[in-house]
Amino acid sequence: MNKFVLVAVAASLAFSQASAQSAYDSEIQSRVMALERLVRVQALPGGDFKTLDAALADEFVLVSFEGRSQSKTEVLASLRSLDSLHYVIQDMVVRVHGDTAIVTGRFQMSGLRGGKPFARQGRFVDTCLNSDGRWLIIASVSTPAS
Amino acid sequence: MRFALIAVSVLSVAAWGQASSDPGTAAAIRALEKQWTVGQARNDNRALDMIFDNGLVYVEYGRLVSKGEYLSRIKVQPTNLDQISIEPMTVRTFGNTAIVVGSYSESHIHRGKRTLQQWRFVDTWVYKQKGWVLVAAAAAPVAK
Repeated sequence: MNKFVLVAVAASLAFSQASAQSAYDSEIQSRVMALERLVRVQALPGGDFKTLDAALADEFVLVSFEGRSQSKTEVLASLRSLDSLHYVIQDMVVRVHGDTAIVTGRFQMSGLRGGKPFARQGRFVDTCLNSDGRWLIIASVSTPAS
Repeated sequence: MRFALIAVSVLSVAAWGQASSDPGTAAAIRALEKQWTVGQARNDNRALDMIFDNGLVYVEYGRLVSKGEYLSRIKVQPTNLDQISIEPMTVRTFGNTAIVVGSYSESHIHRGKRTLQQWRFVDTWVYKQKGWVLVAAAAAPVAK
């Protein structure tokens, strides 16, 4: 086999590896986006605590819009105190780093707590982790958008 | 955010979750957090380039910026104009991923008046070929 053939084979292998990686990332992006939509658009407004419990890692931590750090238990308790919640997300982007995915996006939420209306809009950054084939959200930050 | 540094006081650092079983990793991450702050204070883009992943996403003051945009800003910002104090932080590791949660206070002087704002942040580090790199960072202002 001459030198040119070897170069061509190496280039072809590199290309197929890159394609495989891209396909893997694309699949992960779809799965993580589906997870985010399930949590933010369905489970949060619907008060589906079973889904939330399954989607958030036990070690989950939230830095809230008000700059508070909350554990999974505290977040779920806080959500239970809501009378109603409407939640919209947009501009969602997922970046894959192996078994870690970073999700960024914008959100708008409004609702009632204790009969009082509230509304927030801002950005979120979530960190998701592949845990034995299952993607979980392990950290989240919500912050006012400029 | 995390503008130039006059004084950094790491008050306490606690490790929990799975980090407790890997204190070496937690220490390495804490050292990187410090390198980040010092590198920024000195406009040391070369140092920051090493610890930021190329795919870094950073939310500063509610704006989403890339690594390139962030480094461009750092390069031209005056040093030592503001003061930042790093407060307690926790490091949790999940295999090749580490989550840092902490807070810092940022002091500005505007028209002769000093203002103080506390921020709470989450930083995400991932272990790659060359070591730990920062892949995401975001902070929310602590309500007064």
